[in-house]
Amino acid sequence: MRVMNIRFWLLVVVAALLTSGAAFGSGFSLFEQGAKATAMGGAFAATADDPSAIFYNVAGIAQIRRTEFNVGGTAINFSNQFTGDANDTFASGSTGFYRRHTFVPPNAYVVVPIGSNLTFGIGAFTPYGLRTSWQDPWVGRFSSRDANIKVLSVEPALAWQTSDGRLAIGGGPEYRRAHVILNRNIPSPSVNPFVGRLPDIANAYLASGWESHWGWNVGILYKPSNAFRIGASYRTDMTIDFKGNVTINQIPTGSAQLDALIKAQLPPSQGVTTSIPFPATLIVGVGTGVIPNWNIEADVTRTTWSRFKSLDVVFTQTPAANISRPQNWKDTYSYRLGANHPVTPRWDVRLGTVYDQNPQPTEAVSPLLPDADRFGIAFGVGYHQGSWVIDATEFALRFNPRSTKGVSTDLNGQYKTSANLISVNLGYRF
Amino acid sequence: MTHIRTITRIAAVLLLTALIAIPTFAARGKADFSRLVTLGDSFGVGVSNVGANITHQRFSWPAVLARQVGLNTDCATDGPRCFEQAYISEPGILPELQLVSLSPLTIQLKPGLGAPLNSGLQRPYNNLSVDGAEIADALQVDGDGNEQFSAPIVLRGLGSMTDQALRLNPTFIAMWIGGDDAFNGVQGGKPALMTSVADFTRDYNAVLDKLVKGAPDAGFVVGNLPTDIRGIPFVSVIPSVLIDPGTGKPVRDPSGNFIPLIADLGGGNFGQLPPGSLVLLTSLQLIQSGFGIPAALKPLLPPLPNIGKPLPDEAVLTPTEIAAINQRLVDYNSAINAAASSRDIPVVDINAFLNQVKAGIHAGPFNLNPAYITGGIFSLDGYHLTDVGYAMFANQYIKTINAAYGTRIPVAGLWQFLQNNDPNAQASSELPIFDDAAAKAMNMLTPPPLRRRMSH
Repeated sequence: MRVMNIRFWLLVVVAALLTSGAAFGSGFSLFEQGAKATAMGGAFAATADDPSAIFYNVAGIAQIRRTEFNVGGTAINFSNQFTGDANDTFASGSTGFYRRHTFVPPNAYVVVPIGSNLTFGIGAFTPYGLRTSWQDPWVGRFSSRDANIKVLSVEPALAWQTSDGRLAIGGGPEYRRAHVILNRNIPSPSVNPFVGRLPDIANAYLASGWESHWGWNVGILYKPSNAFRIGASYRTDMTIDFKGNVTINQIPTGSAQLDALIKAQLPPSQGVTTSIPFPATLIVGVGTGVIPNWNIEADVTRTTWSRFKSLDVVFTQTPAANISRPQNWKDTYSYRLGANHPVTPRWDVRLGTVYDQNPQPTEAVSPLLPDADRFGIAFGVGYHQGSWVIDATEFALRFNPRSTKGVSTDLNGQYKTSANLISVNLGYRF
Repeated sequence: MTHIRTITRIAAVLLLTALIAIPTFAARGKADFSRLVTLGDSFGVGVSNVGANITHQRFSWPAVLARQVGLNTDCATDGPRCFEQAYISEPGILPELQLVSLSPLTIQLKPGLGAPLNSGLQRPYNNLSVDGAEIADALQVDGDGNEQFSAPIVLRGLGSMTDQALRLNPTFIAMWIGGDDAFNGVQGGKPALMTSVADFTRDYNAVLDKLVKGAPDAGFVVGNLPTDIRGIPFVSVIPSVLIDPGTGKPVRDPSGNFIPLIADLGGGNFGQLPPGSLVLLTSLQLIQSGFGIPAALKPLLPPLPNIGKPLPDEAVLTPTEIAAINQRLVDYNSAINAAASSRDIPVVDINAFLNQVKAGIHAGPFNLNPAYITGGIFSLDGYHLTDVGYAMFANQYIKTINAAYGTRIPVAGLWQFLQNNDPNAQASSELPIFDDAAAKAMNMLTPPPLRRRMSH
């Protein structure tokens, strides 16, 4: 049984490494902004004792009393197998897969103590991101061939703690930049009468510029006793408005007459606008050291995904081509449990687990983002040598199979997703 | 005594539980498709664009059904799970019509003639559908060389459709036949050409009897018939009023009324076509030479040789004739339902399917409807189906089998008809654009008159 389990996980890891695809957390959030926190399943708001606290709970940097650098990244490999619904007139019998792709959201932090109670920090991280790129020929290409949302945040932060170290508070403004690419094909309204087949008539490639918005983030960390810690942090929602261009490239059908008719109907390449609502995130965590030499923490995260009502693309020249895809997402919880255990003065081992709710109603499940509830297990090690710190984490995520239950107007079927994440961070303490 | 009562109670509960737990289907035989046999007409052959050729035969409803139940329709050599059809090489028999130009509308027969590809098969074909077959033909026609169309190719003088079906020792029989019993009346413009209800009922029961007795353990499914001929392109494309070829809109007389075409309304009774009349697609050439256009318009029109001459009876259907044909189809369906239900044979509701088609069907990102040329369901002859249409037709069989036999056969997904998944489909870019008159091509839309059975 034990051998089986190891083999199973090995398979999951190997499969995830070999067949990579896209990246996203619940919805399109990314909670992996530091290898240590990731190893604890992201349950880090009440620990927050390394520079990644700027992301997890900014109050935590007040605990850091030496200047410290920390840089890292998470290599994320997603795989997805789509299987068409056996009762669906269009999709039955079809399959689809993500293109091989490794997504590496980076993170970097600097923390500088000022005096004995105050700490200044600055962090750059990727709190959101999405990549769903499907291998051609993909039956869902009329919904989405490739979607890519890149996000980078920079946050300067300040935290203060009481002299006894029992209470810390912190906060800072967040400057977020993002960029969107949406790529899909346009279907013919009906058959190509010359060949009796269903043709693609154009490709629509939408690329936005890098757009930005400001938000803010606050946190609190309270240690009522040496055995207990409570942490909470809040990151604001924001909506980023994008301007960009859509490039419409006609795909020949093989008939010059039909192509001429299609050309007259297709919107021209033009400017477009869209916007993406990012949710607010509230994290509450409780940590304990009651078991000697073990730090155990449990967190709950609330994410206000219900802000994502609709994905709308407005065409500046031809409003008739405007797209509105209802999303009607729901607010979600995630539950995280993690442990850190120093085994030698130099080595720490870490374990974590997470259950992450997905925000998507069945109607919104599509090739653009086929989300599902997921369960993850993480294992990590930390190594300290002099001023150097290295953290490395392996995090395997299993998604529940997600079916559109026949209600999708785009593409009906089941998505089976799995993911493997490897996080590495390197730190230096002065 | 109490023991007996208790045991009786337990037995009753167990029996009840068993009855609830085991789904019972009112369907004969079981869903074993290893020796699937199909009987049908031109739809079963996979005729598309008036012709039968391997490209479209691969999507005949029997072939689609066979593939969905896991059979191989493309066996190089015959084997256990081979579903054999009498394939015909390109461009088919008849050669297939092709759309060569949308403007001017030009539809032509492909040049050449196809030939049978696997006539040496050492056993009956699994698909015993014969082009033009009426219900009585399933018992009588044996393809001995004296019959037209695909009978000699499919049946090869080895016995009738039903004889050969039984020789295959079928595990499952699927049948759709009877459409041509009524369609002869549509195609010939005369309800009198249809099979009588009495004959249809007798023959339908005889066919089912013979198959059920010969293969008592086989699963069995049949399909009913569409009961409204209106809406299929074959009768809906050409209006019964005068059209201005320049604008494509109806011409109005000085008082603003449409101008009905004139025709033989039956029995030498000439006059204006009453509202609701249908003009067959095959009459286009006649109208373009002046037939049906009232003589009073002669001074206003270019000199057409036949202005003032009525359209012949066989070119049109009056509302009375349409009602008679539709009623006959309703009566056929009653006969099919009675014959099938008395033998526990599920009936596929093809009538409901055609009504869905008329309303338009949304399949993934595509919309399919009954429109001529562009709708995607009906082929260029106006009544046979396209590959897409046949796949959807086969899906009706699959859904009925799943419901009746508790199977989970996947439906055929239309994604397989995506043009850009099939590099061969791109070959159409080589098509030349011909300028021949559309009328010439339209005349080729219908096969020669069907063989009339001696028995009637």
